[in-house]
Amino acid sequence: MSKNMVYMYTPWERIWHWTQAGSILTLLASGLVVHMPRTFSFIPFDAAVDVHNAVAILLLVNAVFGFTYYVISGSIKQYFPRHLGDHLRDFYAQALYYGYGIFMGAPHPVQKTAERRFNPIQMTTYASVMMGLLPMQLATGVALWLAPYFPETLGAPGAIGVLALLHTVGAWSFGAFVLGHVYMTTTGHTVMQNIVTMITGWEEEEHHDDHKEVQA
Amino acid sequence: MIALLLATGALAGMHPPVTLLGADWLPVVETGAPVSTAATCGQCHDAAWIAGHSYHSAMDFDRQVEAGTAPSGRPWDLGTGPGTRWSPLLDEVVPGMDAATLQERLGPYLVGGGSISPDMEMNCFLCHTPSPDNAARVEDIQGGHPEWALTATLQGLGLVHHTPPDQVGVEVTGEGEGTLTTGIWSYNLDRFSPEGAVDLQLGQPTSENCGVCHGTVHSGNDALLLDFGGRGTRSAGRVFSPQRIASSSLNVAGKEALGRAWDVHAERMLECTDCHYSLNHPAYYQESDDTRPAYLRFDGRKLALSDYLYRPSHDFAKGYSAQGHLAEGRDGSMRACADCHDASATHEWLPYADQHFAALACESCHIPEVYSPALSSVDLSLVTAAGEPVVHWRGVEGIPTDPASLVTGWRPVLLPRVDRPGARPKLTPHNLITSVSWIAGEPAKPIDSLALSEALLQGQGYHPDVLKALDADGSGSLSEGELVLDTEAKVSAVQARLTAAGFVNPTLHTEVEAFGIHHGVTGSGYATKECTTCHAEDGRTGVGFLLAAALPPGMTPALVGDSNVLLDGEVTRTDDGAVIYQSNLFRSGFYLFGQDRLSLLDIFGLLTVVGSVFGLAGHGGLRYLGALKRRKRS
Amino acid sequence: MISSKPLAAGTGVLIALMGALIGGSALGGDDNPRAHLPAHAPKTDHAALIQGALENGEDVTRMCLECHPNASKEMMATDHFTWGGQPVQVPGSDEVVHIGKRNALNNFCIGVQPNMGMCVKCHVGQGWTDEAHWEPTEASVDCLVCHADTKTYWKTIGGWPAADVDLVAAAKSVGPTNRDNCGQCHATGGGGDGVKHGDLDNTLRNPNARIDAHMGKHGMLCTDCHQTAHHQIPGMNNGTSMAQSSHVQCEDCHDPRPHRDDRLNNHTATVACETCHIPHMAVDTPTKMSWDWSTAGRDDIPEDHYTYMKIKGSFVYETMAVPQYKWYNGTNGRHLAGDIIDPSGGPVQMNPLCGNIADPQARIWPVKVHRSNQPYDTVHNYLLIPKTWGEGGFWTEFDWQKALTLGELTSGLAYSGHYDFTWTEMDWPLAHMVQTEEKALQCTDCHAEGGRMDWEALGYDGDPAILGGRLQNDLVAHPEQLREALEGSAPKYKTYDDGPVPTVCEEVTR
Repeated sequence: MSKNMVYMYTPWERIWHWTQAGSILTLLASGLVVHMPRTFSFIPFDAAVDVHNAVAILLLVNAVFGFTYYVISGSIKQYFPRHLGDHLRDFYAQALYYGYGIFMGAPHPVQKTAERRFNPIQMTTYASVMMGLLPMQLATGVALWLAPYFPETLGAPGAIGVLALLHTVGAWSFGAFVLGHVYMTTTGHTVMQNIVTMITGWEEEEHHDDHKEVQA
Repeated sequence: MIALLLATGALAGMHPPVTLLGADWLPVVETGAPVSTAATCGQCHDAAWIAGHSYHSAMDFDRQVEAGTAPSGRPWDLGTGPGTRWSPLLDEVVPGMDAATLQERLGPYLVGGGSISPDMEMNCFLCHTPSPDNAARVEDIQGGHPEWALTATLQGLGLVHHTPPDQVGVEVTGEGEGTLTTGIWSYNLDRFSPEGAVDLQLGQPTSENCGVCHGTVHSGNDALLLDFGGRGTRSAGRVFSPQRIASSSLNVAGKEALGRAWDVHAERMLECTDCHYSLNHPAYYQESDDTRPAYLRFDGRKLALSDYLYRPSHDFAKGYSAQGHLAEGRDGSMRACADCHDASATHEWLPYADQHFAALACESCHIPEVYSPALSSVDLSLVTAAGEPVVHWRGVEGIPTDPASLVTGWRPVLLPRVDRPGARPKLTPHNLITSVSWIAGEPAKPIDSLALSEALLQGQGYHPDVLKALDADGSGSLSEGELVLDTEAKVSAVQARLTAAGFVNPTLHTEVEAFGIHHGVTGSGYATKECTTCHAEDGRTGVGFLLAAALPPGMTPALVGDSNVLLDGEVTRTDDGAVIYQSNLFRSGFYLFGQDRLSLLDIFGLLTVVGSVFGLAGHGGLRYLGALKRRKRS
Repeated sequence: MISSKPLAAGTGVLIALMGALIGGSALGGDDNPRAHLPAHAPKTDHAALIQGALENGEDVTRMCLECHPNASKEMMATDHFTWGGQPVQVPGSDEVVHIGKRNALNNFCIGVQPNMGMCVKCHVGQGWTDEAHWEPTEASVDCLVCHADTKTYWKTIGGWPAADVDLVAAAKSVGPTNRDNCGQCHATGGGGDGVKHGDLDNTLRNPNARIDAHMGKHGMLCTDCHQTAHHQIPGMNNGTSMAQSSHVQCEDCHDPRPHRDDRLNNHTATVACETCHIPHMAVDTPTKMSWDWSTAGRDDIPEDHYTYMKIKGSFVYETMAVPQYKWYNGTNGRHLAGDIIDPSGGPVQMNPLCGNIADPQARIWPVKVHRSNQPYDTVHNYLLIPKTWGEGGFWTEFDWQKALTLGELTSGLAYSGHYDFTWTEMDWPLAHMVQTEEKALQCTDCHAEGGRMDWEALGYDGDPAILGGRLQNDLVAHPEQLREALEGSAPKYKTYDDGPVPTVCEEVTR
């Protein structure tokens, strides 16, 4: 077994990732306080609202930055399959791996490279979170924030309820995603390997046969 | 200057002495006849025009409708005002009564001059003199002397006295030409000039004048006594006084901390008429934004003061009424909070100020609590031994009229209210008064408390049939706890008694009526500022509002049909039989962070998260087992 | 449309979150009245420092001076010691006199000169028994009366320590002046608890919040407002002094526009804070509102502390009394001994407050007006000073002729032998027993029918809430000064820093 180090994530990508991680966790926590103030009465409601709004701005700025960076650097291609047929086949293989092979110590079915870091399941999940859930959550959040200034449209009683419900759905979804995401980081070569990679940017590349390990 | 005097009520000292005239336009001190305001006031003011432009005279009697078509939806209502629209708060006035009964029962609440009671001229003295004798007025209306009611009012000024009974109707030849026949009232001649003129101290109505009928009005430093005879105090706990609650003589719980005045507008020296002004008052009236040209802030073409004094409109500016279509044509004619106050200048601290302003009436935060008891339910399914409806109060421990009772205060229920058709509902504080009554006859009408007393009471106590069904402890009288029809058997027993008393097909009816709370306002110091007052699981709109401690089995009160309030929450019963209103503001399009949530959604979300945790833990466990197995094998 | 507020707020919080925590202490700056309180010097325990026997009061002072060498020099320059005052220009003459407690007339016990031995029980010196002839030394200053624990030290005739005082114990107890030190004299002026001022009585020695917000609710001391340097205690007592340059005023600590409500702030240029925040005088202890000397000496009226005493005459006391309201610009006139009176011309004004509606420096103040019926010479037409205390005095002989004749000997006012009684009035502006907003006057207390203010007497056409104030009605001279005050500058009282003070008010006219 030969080892060599692959530079997987640029500093910008790492800063973007951890900013996003931190702000999403803060938003989930402060949002929960706003959602159930008495349950978390040890945190003042108005402080939670302020924190939620401020961190949301941070997340929004980060998202815009990230999107711009991914587009300019071309990394956005990571989120889209190159060939649909291959994608579906690999998707199946990856699902089979998570559902069975991983218990048997089977090798990762899809090779991970700096150019192709996501396996098809990751790709689908991340694409839907980054380009579906996150924009939806940001949009409903911003809409709720702007509602007072557009009382006839966004602020209309019916609209604000719908926005709030969508925002709540999004929040629960993010909660589930974060859990799954954190768990999947443990499916690398070692339990901590993927997290270390996201901090340092370097991934220890391990060769078995002609397949590569893949993280979540 | 005159405008100023008009505006300040300083006219009180300006009105010249008046020669009191009878209906024959002769001075009453010469004829002994009752005073006529049409003649007396008509000397200078257009009395007929005034009576014709006065809601207090008309009371919507001019807008009666066919039975069954009233906006209230009650088949027995014939209109929208008192006398044509039934109210459990004045249950003995049932629409469609004969004129004499109507005058006797509604008369005390009428100022006269309308089509309702032709015998009663408009009583200018009641509202324009400093100390009208309302008790004497009511006594004459109910005692069959409505023509003397005006004269009786003047007893408050010391101008008249009751004629000794043996001297009533005596003919006295006067010093002049005429012959004086003494009526039931005699004039205190020493108070009149030789020509019959007298200073009535006439002026703009003070708040105290309004308080004679509308509720507790109080000024000065003397002890404040709640006047539950006034409808506003009874239905909404209305107290209009500049006095600090802490300095009040009332037994209000925790009052040391209540350095606020009963009403900030009273504290700031506003009188009732400053908001409820005459609709052609040149200093106050302003055309509404709806009809005023957009380029014109102020229209200088006001009524001349002399014209106003000749024909002052007695239709007064009003807001919107939560119950009924009362005086509908004048709805919203009053200046609302925002017409005088610039809220944006004082609410910089409030996050989402515009959203709050759009969703909440100012009163919602500025009337956080009411410190005077108000009715919570009126039960006309039974009567007390005194023949009165069984009433329950909120905000007090004990009887509200007993000064020793502890006034605990109560939080109004915030209900979405649509003042103008098509407008967005705003949360506005209300009281909800639930009533139960018997409906009987053909056409069906409520059985009022007088008729009910005749059927259910006998001699000094209850009818034996009633006692048999209700007197659980066999004491021969009914205690407070026994005065409720809480079982089918009791309902049937009273129903049978009513049928036996001649009522056709008596059935129980229950309804709830909303009363808006717009007085008792407080300034910034005591207004609601804490977010979690509303934005919390147990926020104001999340907790139930007691409707009635008990209702007959199976009955759920419905909102009377003509309210502009949305009562779209649930009416539920607790295990001990109390009936609670639970708001559901989401249905009216409100979403309160911290309070509103779809529990289904949250349960689903929580299940997803918990499911993820378990699923991932299971997956991880299997991975661990697999790794163990592999290690063993190798 | 979108305002920049939420963005600005969001950005602000963002900055805060990113670590640059914005300092949160908005309080503690100039807005906080507490910032104006002097630091209290720690009490030095003198118990170990006091050694040896102390024979008399002067011994004590000499010992104090060993460590505090300037104390007596400083004290001897104060009104508290000289009982003198600023130089006063006597009308119609070039003579300049110093008017103070030693020679001013009042309408309680009238004058100190014939009664020195008794009156100096409240003097900060010892041994002053003859008003005109006294040559005090540095040892004459009485340090203990202001610095000793009042439970260990009290004074008697001549201002000497009482015989049963343990001077060593008293000296060991000394410390910074406290409420008891001030209160023992100022709370009992006029001959008893609460008699004279209306806003000062013994309840203030240990008050609760109901009596006074500053001292009761916040535990403040007299010297927190009357901030003393070199033994000069600022403040203004219209009863004895003339206009001084040392007004203590609310704005020393409080914002001139302190209310949340601009409507209230617009009052502050014309209405003194005290007017609304001292709604009543004599909160618990009754204060004397009138005193009729003419009934004194009779045996047919039952004795009662609050209605009649044979030695003093008839009284009216009141608690929770409603003040009168007068314009006051910080100065007052002064009736001097020997000033001719017109007995038929209404009550003699002993110390009329200066100021009127036209005077931009004048504000409406709450005032205790004390009325008295006191002796005057019916031939010379001036007020007389009787000898009341001591040998031959009225309190022992009940003989007005004798008391007034003896009074002539020390006051120097010739007595014709013919006397009668005439009514006089003194103005006592109220500044203590301050109440918080929960107890302060409300709009309707003044601006409603039957309200407290007599608008016409104050110079208005009627209620200014309706008719507009003195600015709107062009009633004030120098309106620009009022406008400045409306913009937030603290009102300044009129003072006479240098030179003789006139004894009559300088009238300001529009």
